[in-house]
Amino acid sequence: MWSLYRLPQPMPGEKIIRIIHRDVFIVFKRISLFIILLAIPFGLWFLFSQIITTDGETDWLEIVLVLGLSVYLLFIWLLFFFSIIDYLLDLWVITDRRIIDIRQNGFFSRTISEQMLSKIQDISSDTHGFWQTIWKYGDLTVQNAGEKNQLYFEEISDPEEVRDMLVKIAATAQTNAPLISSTDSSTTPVSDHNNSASLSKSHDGL
Amino acid sequence: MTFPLSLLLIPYGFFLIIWGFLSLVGFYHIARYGGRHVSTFILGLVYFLGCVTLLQVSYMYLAPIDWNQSITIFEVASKQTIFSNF
Repeated sequence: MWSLYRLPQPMPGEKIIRIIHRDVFIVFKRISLFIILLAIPFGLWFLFSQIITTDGETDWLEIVLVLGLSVYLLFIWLLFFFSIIDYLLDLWVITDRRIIDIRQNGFFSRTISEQMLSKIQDISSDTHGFWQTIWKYGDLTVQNAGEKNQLYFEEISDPEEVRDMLVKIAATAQTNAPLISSTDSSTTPVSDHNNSASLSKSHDGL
Repeated sequence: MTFPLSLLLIPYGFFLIIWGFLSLVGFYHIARYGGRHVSTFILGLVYFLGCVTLLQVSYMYLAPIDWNQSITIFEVASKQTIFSNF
């Protein structure tokens, strides 16, 4: 889905190391919820059909129920569509220079934020609860040096493994940062902790 | 209170317009940000087929109804009807 030419403001020589989505268990959860929501009106329909047959003057009520059922089914189908779009378009791109956090929030909001690997100060993973322990998924928090902002990897598969990988590549990036900054003017040096260019955010309306 | 049955189609039509617009927004998102990936293509196709099925089934149930008939709800009893019982 992603290639380097589609990275937001790609840097010269930047390589994608990994693209991370939420864990696939999240899709199962959303499908299960959709099936439950799908089953509810049919149960209610059965209940109402019993009431309607006992009263001869409720034809219009039956029409209202058909219209209501149509609206309900179209609506949950749309919500299901957007929940899968949300899953597919929410991603974290890890390159050899930075982490890019791309979020699709509902119908009209899209957020892209990034953090330079050379600025990372702390990385912590969090797996809690029954399902997260069984399915080995959880959250990851990346804290930027000198900035209050953090990047969250939500419900990703095997956060410990991703944390270990990030620690390694961040260490490499921090070692190479002075070298990169001397050759590439777009990269921020490690010592400049207050430079806001290390973490930028953008919001798209659509 | 009596009103034509076709009045029920107004809020339904209004919903369909908003729903259609939001569906187009969804397609816009997968076309613009999803790239030419097979998963987004399959998602778009499945959603489209689901929409066609749901709309067709809705039409199948709603088409035979005579929308010109009037319906009466909250029927108020007149004085004559009330006193005729005594």
